[in-house]
Amino acid sequence: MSSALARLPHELDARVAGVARPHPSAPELPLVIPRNVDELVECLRAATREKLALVPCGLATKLAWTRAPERADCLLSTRALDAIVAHEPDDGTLVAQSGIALATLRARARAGGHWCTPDLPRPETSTLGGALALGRSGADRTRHAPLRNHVLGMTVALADGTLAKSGGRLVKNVTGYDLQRLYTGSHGTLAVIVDAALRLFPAPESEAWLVRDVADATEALRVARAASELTTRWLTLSIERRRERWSVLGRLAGKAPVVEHELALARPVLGAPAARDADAAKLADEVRDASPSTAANFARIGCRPSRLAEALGIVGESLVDARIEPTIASIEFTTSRSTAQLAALRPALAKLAASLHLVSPEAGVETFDALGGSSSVARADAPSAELALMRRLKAQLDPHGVFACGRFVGGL
Amino acid sequence: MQGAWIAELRELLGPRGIVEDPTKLFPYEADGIVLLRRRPEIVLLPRTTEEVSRVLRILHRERVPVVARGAGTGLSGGATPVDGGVVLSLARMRDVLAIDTVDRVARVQAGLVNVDLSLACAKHSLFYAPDPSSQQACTLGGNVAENSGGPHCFRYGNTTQHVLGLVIVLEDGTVLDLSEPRVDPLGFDLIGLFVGSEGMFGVATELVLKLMPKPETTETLLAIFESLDAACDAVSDLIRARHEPSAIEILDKLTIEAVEASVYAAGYPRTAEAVLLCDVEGTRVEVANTVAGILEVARARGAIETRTAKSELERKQLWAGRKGAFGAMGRIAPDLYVADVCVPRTRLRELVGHTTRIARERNLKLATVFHAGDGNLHPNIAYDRRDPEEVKRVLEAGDEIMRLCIEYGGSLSGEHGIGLEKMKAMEWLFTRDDLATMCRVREAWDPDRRMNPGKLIPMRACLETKQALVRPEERPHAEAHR
Repeated sequence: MSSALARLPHELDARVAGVARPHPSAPELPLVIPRNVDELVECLRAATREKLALVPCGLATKLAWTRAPERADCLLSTRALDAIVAHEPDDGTLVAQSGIALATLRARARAGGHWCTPDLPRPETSTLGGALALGRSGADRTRHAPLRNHVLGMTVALADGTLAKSGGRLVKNVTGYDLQRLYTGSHGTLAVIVDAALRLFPAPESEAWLVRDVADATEALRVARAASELTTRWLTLSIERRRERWSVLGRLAGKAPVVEHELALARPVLGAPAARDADAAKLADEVRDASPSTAANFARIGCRPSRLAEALGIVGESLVDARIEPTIASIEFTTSRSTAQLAALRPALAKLAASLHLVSPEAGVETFDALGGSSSVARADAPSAELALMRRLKAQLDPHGVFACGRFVGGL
Repeated sequence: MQGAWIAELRELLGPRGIVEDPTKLFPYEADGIVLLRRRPEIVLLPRTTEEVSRVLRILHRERVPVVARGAGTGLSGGATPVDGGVVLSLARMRDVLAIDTVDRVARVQAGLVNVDLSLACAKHSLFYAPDPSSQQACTLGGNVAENSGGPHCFRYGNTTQHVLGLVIVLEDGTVLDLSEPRVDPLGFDLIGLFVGSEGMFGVATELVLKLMPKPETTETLLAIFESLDAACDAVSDLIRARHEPSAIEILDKLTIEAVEASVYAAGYPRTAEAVLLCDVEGTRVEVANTVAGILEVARARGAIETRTAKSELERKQLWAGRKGAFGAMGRIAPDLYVADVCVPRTRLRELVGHTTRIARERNLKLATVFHAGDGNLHPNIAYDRRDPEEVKRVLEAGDEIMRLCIEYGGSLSGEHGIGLEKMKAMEWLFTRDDLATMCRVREAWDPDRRMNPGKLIPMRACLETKQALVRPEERPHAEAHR
């Protein structure tokens, strides 16, 4: 056990359940797992009192996605907060605690006749809180838009243990500031997510996958663009590069007659369906879990759809495996290039106003792009007013820096 | 107002950019909530982001409160002027700056009227989805401030889901350029946080908005019911059956009568107790499938007649009736209290029943029209503001409706915002800690709380937060405050 364990106050010490690294490049620290919300609050109060720094986490599977913290005394996991708080199938809403596994959440929604976004890889080892903290949308974003659009409300625990809620459980609501939008994607730097209310979508009656192998990236983009113009109802539409082969994959899902009609529309571009219904669901799991983001080292580029081809041209030779979502305009890829070599692409990408996010545990601190997140890769055009405002938000919600600083953009 | 800074503003904005004549200030006394009036001392009308920035720099130096205003169609007192403050109108900033048909985005100035954006991009077969009933007059900047909705937000979502970028001028004149659309925010989601902040975080001067491709087919259906309860039950059934039209609206009998007697007459049967109005969009097969599902549900719930619009003209008429409903109610009484509350969609019938009782007990005329598919009700109470006793009963009824919504798991507003009108009710829904957290976030944007002060959050919550916070110079990021 780390020597840091001895320094923890009794509220935290009593809940230590092992050790974990707050980042692959950082030493192991005690892993504190409160069993309920009261214990979580106690832990936070103690951390504030003792001026400790915590790294909030779920199952601690994505901690490499930010930089190593400047200072941390322990990890604080919400994995034991895994209850469904409320499920209203007839209203299409679900409230769950943050530690619930996405697979459990999806199964519960499915039992009520619904689809729960985000459809992320390895849902058994991903928690709702983790997905929200990362602001991570799934492959179903093509149809359902980003996850942050569907978070109806949230309860968080602030650094001093204060529980604060925003929003509600309603599909439409403009009461008070949308603080859940602020917490979503904040990487645990502002508060610990306790629970969240989500909007659900109708579960598809029928689904089908279409797969077309293509020669190269240029043909892939042309085919994908043609497919996107055939129907706006793709559940997922992606270009996949695996083992140097390129293909375009489309997933249609919905009411049976509608899927049949869309299959007929898509056939001239993508051919006959490769899988239907039960087989399609199985293929969906395989495709989802083959995401480049499941690798230890990967990169993600985001840009405008009109600049996707240029962005792809800039990184083309760096790709090993890749998933490109043409309507979202994102490129997620694994690469054999070093972090420094990829970082060298930034100026060219910046001309396209494209962002580049690198996840590279070996490189330690070089994992986050934009806004001057790392001193060595600070962007010359970093919008300082934006970063100053983010710092003021951090100072307001976590004035003593309990939620380990330095992990997020601009050292937040 | 007097002072050298007024002269500075005159010089900066020119004669058309400042209103000081008391006889010309009347239109700025209130927004759509005419009960909440206060005469501003001056109104400023800049034309560009640069002018807004320079204006706010002067007002920051002089510590003058600022109330930003679009078209003044808001329905929560969000644009009501404040004592000792100025009104900053965006009404002269109404240019379409760019329409990108490949990426399907538009860049516009914040004072552009909502409907003008859809008109500007119609030739590209694109449209802007949020469609408040006031879309012929309301500005897109106002929509951003209130996170406005509209009938078709059932399918497309409120304004927040359509804002891809913003240029915001902060209280000290700093220009925050978040205008480049990003797949995901780089850092905190400042745009998502700003939308719906009711003018308290800064002034959005330019907006980058998502445009949608026009659907292949649109069908408009009308189902006529002998009872409002049956119409509500039909909506709950539609949600339960996972049908996905684009809009699900209900109008009650008094609303129908008002509409049919007005220039917005849509052909709703005057004998009906309620009508259910739906739009269904998509491919031909998708629309046919959904329409069949809706008709089945409506008939099962006792609809005495169902119609589908036979022409684009008829479709437009049916929607003109719905969108003109608030205006048509001017025939019932001189003034209209437009409530805006939300409940889970399983509780529609109960809440509608209670609102009817609440109005009846107070001898008030209630006309209900609502975005039923979203659980967003607008119980509208007709009254005469010259009758103080009636005004008192109207406000009591509004309070009771809001309390009931909270009891049913609902909220205070679905699209109009909190403003002045519902501020006290925030304490019914949220705890002091919830409100104090909102205050903290607000102070990150506007440390002196000069932007639209005294709105949305009860003052007590803010004062307590101020005392509880550590002093700025003791904070880890103290340099950010300087």
